[in-house]
Amino acid sequence: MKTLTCSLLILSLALLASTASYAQAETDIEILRAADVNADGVINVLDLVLIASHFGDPLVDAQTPNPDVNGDGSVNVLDLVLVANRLGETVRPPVAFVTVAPDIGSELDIDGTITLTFDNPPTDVTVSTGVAMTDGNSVTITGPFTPGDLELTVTWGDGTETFSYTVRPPAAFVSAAPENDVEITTEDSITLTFDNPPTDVTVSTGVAMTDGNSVKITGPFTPGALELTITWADGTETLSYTVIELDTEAPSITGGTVSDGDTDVDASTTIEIEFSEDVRGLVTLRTESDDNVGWITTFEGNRVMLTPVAGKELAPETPYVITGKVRDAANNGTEINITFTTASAYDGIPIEVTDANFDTVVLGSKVPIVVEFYTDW
Amino acid sequence: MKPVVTAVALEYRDTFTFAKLDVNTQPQKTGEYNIRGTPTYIVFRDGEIAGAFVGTLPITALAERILGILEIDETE
Repeated sequence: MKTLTCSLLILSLALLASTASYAQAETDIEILRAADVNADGVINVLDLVLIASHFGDPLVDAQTPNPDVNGDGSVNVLDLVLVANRLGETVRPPVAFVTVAPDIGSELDIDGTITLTFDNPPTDVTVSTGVAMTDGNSVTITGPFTPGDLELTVTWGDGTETFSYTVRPPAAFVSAAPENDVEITTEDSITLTFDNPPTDVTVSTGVAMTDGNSVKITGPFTPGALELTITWADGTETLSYTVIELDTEAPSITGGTVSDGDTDVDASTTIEIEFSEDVRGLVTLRTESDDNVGWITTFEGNRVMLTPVAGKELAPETPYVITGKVRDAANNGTEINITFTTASAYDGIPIEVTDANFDTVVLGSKVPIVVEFYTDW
Repeated sequence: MKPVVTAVALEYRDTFTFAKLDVNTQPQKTGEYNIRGTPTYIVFRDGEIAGAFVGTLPITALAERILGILEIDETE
């Protein structure tokens, strides 16, 4: 009897609903979804049958399908009427968030783009920051975003989601070392400094390594003119250099007024040492016991001059050492160690000796010495 | 005799040094080397006596005598 009654009722209601509106307002979407008892996207007689078959049944919380369409706690004719009034209408399925790119927690540019994907086309999309454009199942959100932490809330007809990002401040070029328009060697590196950490750095020549606000560009570079273009997410910069071959050869002594092992060196004039290239460094004239004699050392191009100083004359027939280290422009170093002996002070005029200085002058002489024992009558 | 010594000293200044000691004023070394007459020439090499001779000689002879003691051949 229940079945017959229900069938007749359903038939009546179905006929009644033949004139029902097919319009679907977003405002009553929840009602429509409730009326689509079997959740097949269409409100039809099957939903009525499902309700009718549960007339008088006890209800369970969160029952699925739920024949208590109007939610009044019982399945009855009111539910049938509610469904009958919407017969033929389709029910938009709920739209669920699926994915977001870039990943939550990642870093964004201020002009970056965030793309959300839903399982169905979302409606009524609004965002807390930026501009949202919906295209099918996707929503693209564009900035500009404010540098720093970004909490982006996206709301659509069926839900809301919040995404966290860090918005990277734009990086501006500050300086380069070596600076623009100078000479570098094939093996040199160039360090660029930015006001903020740059991203997506590429260079026209060499290899770029980013570390914080710095980018180090290493070669080897080809000798000649170098136009180095650096591109990063926020800009581009071109630097010009002249690349020269790397000097790996240390300076060598090519001449001068004294050589290692020399004897009879004139102790009264400037000593000069000549090198294969321009040098700088520290060179001193020292005694055998490593005391600095105190002569003045000057560097002039590829020459080093040791100039006598009044009161600091060299003793005759005495060994001295020119010691130190010189470097060329490429910092190649050469140790200097020249030992020489000064010439005798003897000028061909017999030296008057006495009992007091005899041992020093005669017995200590490094050259043969003839002593004339004489008398003046 | 002094011009002779001066001439030899100047001529051979690159070979040996010439020194002179007044026996009247420097008795210590005069006695130490047992000087009996003047001029006496003592040739030292490396602090040791290489040879000695007494008496005046002309320039060439004086030079040859000294070079001979030092075993230096002038023709070399």
